[in-house]
Amino acid sequence: MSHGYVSIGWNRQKKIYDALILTGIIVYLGLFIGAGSVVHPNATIETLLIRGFGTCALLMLHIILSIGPLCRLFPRLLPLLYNRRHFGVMMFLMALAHGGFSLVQFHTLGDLNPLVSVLVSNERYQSLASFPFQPLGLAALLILFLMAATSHDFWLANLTAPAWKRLHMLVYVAYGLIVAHVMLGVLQAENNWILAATLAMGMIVVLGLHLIAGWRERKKDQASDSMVSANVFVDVCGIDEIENNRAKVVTLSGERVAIFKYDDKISAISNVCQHQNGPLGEGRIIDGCVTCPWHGFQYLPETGASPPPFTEKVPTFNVKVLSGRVLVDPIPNPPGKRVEPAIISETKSESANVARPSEFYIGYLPVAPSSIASAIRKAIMVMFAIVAVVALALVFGQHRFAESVFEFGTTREFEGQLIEKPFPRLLVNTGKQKDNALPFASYALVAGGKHGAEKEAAGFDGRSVKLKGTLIHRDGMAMIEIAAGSISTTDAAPIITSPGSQFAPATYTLAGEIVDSKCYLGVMNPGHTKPHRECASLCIRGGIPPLFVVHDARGYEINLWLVSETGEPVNQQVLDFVAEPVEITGQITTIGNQLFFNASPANYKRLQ
Amino acid sequence: MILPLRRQHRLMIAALIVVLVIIFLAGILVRPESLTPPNSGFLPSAEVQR
Repeated sequence: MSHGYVSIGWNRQKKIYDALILTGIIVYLGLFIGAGSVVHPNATIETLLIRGFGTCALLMLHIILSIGPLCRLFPRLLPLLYNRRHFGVMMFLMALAHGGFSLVQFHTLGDLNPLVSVLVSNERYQSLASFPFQPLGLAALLILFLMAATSHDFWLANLTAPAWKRLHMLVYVAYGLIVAHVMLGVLQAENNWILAATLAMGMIVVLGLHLIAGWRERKKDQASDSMVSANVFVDVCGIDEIENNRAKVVTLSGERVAIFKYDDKISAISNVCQHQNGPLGEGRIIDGCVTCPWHGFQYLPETGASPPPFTEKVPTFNVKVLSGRVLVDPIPNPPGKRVEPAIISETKSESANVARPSEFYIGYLPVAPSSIASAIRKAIMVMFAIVAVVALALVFGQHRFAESVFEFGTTREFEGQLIEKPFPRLLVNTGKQKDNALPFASYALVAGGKHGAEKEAAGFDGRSVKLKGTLIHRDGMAMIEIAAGSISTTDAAPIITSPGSQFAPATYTLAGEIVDSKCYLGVMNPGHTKPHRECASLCIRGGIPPLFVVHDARGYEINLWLVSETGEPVNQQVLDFVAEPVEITGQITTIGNQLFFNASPANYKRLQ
Repeated sequence: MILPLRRQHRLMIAALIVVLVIIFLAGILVRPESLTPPNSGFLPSAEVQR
């Protein structure tokens, strides 16, 4: 609680709290990325970072959402609530890192503005299975941004508490969007039960705690609300039932009232703190003020007003004491209206006034009682154990990563014959000619980023050239990302004069997935299935040749360059079909040692 | 962030639970086991490409 606005009113507990969160983040990311790179040596660092930040934010969100009901059920854990906003801001930063890396990885270097690409690269809103999951994540990130940006008390005061609270209740909308983002995104491709079970467990914990806490509150309300009768003082409890400097909470006419006993007096005020709706009745009197257990906001018990210079006010209730019983008028007074406290005289109970060790603690107090400190230490150990278990479960739950390679940073020189149609390729003489193998290797050519190499290769069709580029390869197929402007002609003799099919064309109906060849062959890993759909769409839109990936009856993967029935590029026609199961009827032909699938886009058929 | 619970808050929690369970089950049920199902019949060997 502070009067002037400072960026953060640091105290010892806040520093320890933040240090523990940072340690937890480092432990999680260290385990996820460290163990991940050992268990999945083919995974790229970008993929590990994107997944690490995303899962870290999701785990943090589950912990944040659990703290509220946990504190309702176990008040000794209230110190976890005290600085939760810092937890929330750090969770947002993790989510932002996940979103930022994903935006750069999947949506930059293409023909569209990256944010536009997020919104238009997949427009299959009518399909649940193909539903665009990235806009769901973006919407959740915007909500988390609004919450993080307005988390300071400056915004709480300027927006007013009710508006601020409504805004921050959007965290539950964000949680729903994130669950949908995960279920309709990565979990559409990663089908290991461990991943779905981990998320289900998180949901059960969050929702279960809310249900149990809600059920308990309802029971309390029902128990005390039965005492209400209209416009007369209500007998709510005996004086002995209230601990000194603490309160008893009762529900009168649907409103919770906190009845405090202090200095041989009784006062009653609303139970709802003006700061963040904290339960004042679970606080205690410190320095003559009712102190909220959540963040330490204070109110004078006689007036319901914060001591000057603070301005918060809560409603007061008229109260009297008769024959050792406390009676309260259920009609509230305006916030801040002074009400004379009821004096406890000869009827006071000695036993209730005996000072007992208090379990109350708020973060700006110097030392926590040992019982609270012990509970918090145990809770922190449990949380760190959860962090480690979840990180390792998610590492081992991921699919094996394909052995694909992008020799990023290594530029080689290649010589061969350039073929322009249907997409640029380089035929390189290998010198081998045995077992009917062709004496040359074929490299598809692409430009930097999410662009094809048509412009770079224009005018070189059929000519002997040399060029510089970076090799991309997967399972015997290879591609070169050309260094811009590096193609030049040579005097070498052409390798082939009339590339023809190795065998007679035959018609097939095949089921498989259309992918962008550049990512699939190694620039990204994984570079296929639904989580990669938006990137694949952007790449193919930019001229990267589409591959049709199918499996034969033995499970062997066969990669077919997808072209029209006349052998023309079909980049624009496949955009709506990428990264989902499709069935295509067409003819397989070979040109050189490459398999082509000539099919009319009119014959593409979705399998779901 | 649980509030002192009133009726509307309990209704919100109930609605949230229903929505989340539907989303979770939908995500599980629409998931294709494999995006590239195997194809029967003779296909040109992948070795052709090497």
